[in-house]
Amino acid sequence: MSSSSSSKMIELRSSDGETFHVEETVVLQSETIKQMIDDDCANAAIPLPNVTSMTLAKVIEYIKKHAEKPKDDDDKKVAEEDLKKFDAEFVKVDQESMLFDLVRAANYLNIKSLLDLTCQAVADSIKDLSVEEVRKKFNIQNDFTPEEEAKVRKENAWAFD
Amino acid sequence: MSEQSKVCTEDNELPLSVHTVMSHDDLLIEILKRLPLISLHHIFKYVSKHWQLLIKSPVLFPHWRKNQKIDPPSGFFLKSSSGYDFVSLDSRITRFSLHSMFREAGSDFVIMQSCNGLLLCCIKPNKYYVYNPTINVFKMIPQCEELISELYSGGMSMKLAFDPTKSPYYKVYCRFGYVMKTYSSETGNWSAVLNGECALTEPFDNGIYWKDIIHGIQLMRGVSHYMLILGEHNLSRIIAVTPFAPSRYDRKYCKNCKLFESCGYLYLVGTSTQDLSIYEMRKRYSEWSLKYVVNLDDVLMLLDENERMPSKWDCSRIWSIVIGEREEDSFLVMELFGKVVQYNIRLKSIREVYDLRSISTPDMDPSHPTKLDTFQFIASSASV
Repeated sequence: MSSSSSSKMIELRSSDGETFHVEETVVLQSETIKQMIDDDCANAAIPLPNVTSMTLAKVIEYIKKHAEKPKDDDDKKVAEEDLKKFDAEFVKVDQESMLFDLVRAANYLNIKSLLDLTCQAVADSIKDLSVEEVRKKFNIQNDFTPEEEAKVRKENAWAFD
Repeated sequence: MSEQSKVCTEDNELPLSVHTVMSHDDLLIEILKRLPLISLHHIFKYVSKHWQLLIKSPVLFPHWRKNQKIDPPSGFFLKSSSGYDFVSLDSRITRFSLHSMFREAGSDFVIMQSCNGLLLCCIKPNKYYVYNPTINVFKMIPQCEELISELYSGGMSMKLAFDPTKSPYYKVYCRFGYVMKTYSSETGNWSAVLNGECALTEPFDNGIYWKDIIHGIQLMRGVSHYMLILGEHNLSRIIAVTPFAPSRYDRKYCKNCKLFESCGYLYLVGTSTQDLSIYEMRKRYSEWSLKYVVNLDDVLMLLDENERMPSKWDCSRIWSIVIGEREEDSFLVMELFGKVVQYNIRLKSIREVYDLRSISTPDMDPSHPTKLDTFQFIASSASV
């Protein structure tokens, strides 16, 4: 691997016009950007019209951390633990909408590990909700008729309050 | 943020990002497939028609995947005088009824074993079923000569072997006297008469299934751990040591040990008067490692004063042990003084989940553990 000083810098532009400079080796974690670089479309700043600067800053924080390479095997174990802690803290966001912004960005940029992490965080945040709470949270209309509702419940032989 | 994008409806504002993700089916599926199966199959399916469609669709569970996770138990089936009661660990689910065919069989219906989401059950005298209560589907195990004839001595016992982390198929091991036969859901046939060793009948009957092996403990030079290896054509036994070696503990201590299996791991629990030690085995033959020591006083402190009685740990009181991926998800389910409680090991909090006095007889002594038949209910989407 080449040393960091010789690594090429890639320029990313967020939807609100802010530019970010990130090392190519780091940014390659995004399949979308990797494709652009492979297709030779990365000579100028890469526009990311779906990602705000706030979200992009978070994404870059994530991929930078995940690009760190441990020096040896002993280091590897420590690094794994460290990364686990980082991931756990990373998804503790102040505003819940940020988590969803990150899901969108991870999907758009095609960063599998970030998509896994953020989708799991969303799942964890809703797993204990009741039917009514889920509907309320995501503004989903109950489109079952009372008859249909009775039928699906019977189908499973389950009942809940 | 200067610009707050929101989708507004009459009574609720949804941030744009939330709306975008939730209305993008691919992303919604990514989230749904990470939910515990109990939430998915028994709660979220009723959110809307669209969610129901997604949850039922093969997109969510295309087929069996290797290294699938096994969910922690969501409840228990508890044998009572009137059949099976449901003890729920999920406050969203208060009642449960088994398939009508089993209900109609009344007291002839017996649950024999719970194994990673599937139940092995029987309608007397000789109809055996593998049943997935989560999706309410069952299959009768085809009859074989021995099942019908009952012309063997030494009794008969069965073990369901289902490990969804390794295979979507299950096997049923059946001991007819000193002969062992297996039924495989992959082939749909009974086969492989294992070389029966009469000495192994008791270990087979009393052991629990975990990763292709029947595990059990026996009181021999302290507590030893035996493994009955279920090979293609024969049964073999390995005896291994446990942390409860005779030099360290008195005989009484040694006697109170029990094995548990949950979420794909095997646990060995042993008690002293005040402490309950939980050891875990993650890999097949690796050593036991101590995960937690639970002090009885910590648990009793959480009970009402008038319910606390001088007591000691007894493994037969414990229904289930779950060591979660996150420490705060680790809990014990146990019976204490006529109540079933869920004790969170890390948070040291307690929650009453069931009152056994509702099903018990008046002469039940609350200071002694009740002999109860309980079977874990583990949500699963496995087909039978």
